[in-house]
Amino acid sequence: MSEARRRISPVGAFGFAVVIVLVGMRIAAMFVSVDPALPTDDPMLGPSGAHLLGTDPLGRDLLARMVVSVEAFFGPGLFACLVALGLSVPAGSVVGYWPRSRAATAVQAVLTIVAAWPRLVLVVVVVAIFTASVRDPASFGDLRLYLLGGLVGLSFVPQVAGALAERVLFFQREQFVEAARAHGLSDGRILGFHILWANCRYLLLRQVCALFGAFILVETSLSYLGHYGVPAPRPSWGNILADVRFAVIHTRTLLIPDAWTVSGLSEAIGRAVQEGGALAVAAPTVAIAVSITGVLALAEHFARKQESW
Amino acid sequence: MGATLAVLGRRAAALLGVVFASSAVFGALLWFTPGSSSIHAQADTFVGWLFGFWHGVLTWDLGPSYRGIPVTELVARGAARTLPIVLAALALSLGMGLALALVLGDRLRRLGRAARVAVHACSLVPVFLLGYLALVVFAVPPEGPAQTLAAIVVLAIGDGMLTDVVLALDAEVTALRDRDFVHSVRLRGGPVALRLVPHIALPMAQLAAGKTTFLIGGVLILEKVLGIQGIGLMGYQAAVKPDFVLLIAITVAATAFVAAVHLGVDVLRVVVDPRARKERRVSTRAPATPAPPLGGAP
Repeated sequence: MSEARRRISPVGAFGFAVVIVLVGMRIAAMFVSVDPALPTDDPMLGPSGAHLLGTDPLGRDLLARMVVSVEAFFGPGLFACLVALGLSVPAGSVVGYWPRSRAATAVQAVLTIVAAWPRLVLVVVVVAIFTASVRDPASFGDLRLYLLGGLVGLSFVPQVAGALAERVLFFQREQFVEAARAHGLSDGRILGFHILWANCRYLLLRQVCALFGAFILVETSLSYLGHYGVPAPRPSWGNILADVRFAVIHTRTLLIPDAWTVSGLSEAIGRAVQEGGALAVAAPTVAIAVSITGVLALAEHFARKQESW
Repeated sequence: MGATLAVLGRRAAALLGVVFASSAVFGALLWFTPGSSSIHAQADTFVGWLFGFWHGVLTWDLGPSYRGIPVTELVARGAARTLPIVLAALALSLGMGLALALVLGDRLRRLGRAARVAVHACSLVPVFLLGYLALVVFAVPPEGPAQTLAAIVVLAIGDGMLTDVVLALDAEVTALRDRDFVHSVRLRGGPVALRLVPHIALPMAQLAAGKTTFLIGGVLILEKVLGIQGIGLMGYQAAVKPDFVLLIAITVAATAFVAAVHLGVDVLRVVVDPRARKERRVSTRAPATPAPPLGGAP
């Protein structure tokens, strides 16, 4: 492998770093000793030795809630990726490898219908149906998150299958495929190994990363709005932010400095952090933005790998 | 002319089929949900209900919603509030994307990299977070033109919308820059950017059609955050109540709007590109949403 291929760009390094931190947080969530659902101290405390990020409006440790929140999108996000791959790879392969077959026409028709559904509308409608059909929706919180994952994965199928079909169609006309056919290799081996594995894996990795980012976005959005995301008191970055939506007006007032000097600004920031719960606003905001950006940076890294392949 | 109309007719029929199939799929989901008694009260069988629903759509009578207002009136009122926001956000995003792709790719190469990172960093923030910041930091009022303007700007930028548009248009502009006619314009000292615009009109329209689905999803969240009485907020409230008839009417309206935008792009494509008139199987060969550009966001 050439040096250029092995080198990781700054974008890729950032993406890998964010993913490693997310995996670390998921592992750490299993060992968090503080119950993130129960109040442990006074509300809206600033950072201290006992609470590194302070407490939320109900007196719960913010750091513990931030770490445990990763559970809300980690497993269901991976499930979304599995669903998308499980459906897109066969669909994209059929459309790309046998483009004139009846199966390809049927698959195209189904993909066209799914592509016409706005992603969040699909998610909200189906999750609303699920919520209406169970007696105690809160006790099915995990199942609902995995349903959410499945739906986001399903909504990505036209995009992933379309991109894959285009690439498979391109490669199935190449000379190495004709040579493989002439050597008597089966269609399954040519498609599975020589096209999908050897030439499309970076494309799939890129799409999977983009999907994982989209799932974080959908989960945090729905948790922020309530009803269809992570049910309270379980934490999610979205509902942590929703909990402080009224406190933030006080924080904004505290952030106005007495004097527009460096010391005046630093005093205002210190006041907002200690008394106004600025970290309770900033921590989930930064976490959401950095996670999505990081995962998409990794997608960009795989896109570049695919281009240089 | 006849061939053009035939291609467009096939495409329109295919898109109508998509809208009908969507209503059938969502209707089936609702019909078989335990507790959806309001739907079961309307017909004995699912097929009967589906035909009753479409009869209601065509006669503009789907019965009352949970608010007591007729469903059709509520959807029309919500659509009149939401669709201009979606279209304006689409236009703003494409305008910003085109300006950035034309400006950053040409003279400002060095600044371009930093500016691109700044654009992507802002754009990858979720719509709900941008809406939330607009509410609390900029104190956007609960109604009026300022609220509408905030919604348009947030939708045009957030959820990776601007990133996708900039990347896609930048790829188009970069590919066009190597063409002979651009070299010729450059040698004559003419305005290169102005000559490029007609050539990227069609890819822009196709991008716009793909992004409409995306924006309809974003507006569902944003209307709830900003309290805009559009189909997004109505859909969310209908899901919470639950009012399944209103929910499916909103879903069908959203799908029909997406299909109408795709049809508009097809008309443009057939008018602009003579090769498209000769396509016999445009409806089955062309995917509804174009494959995303390399490096694009979800």
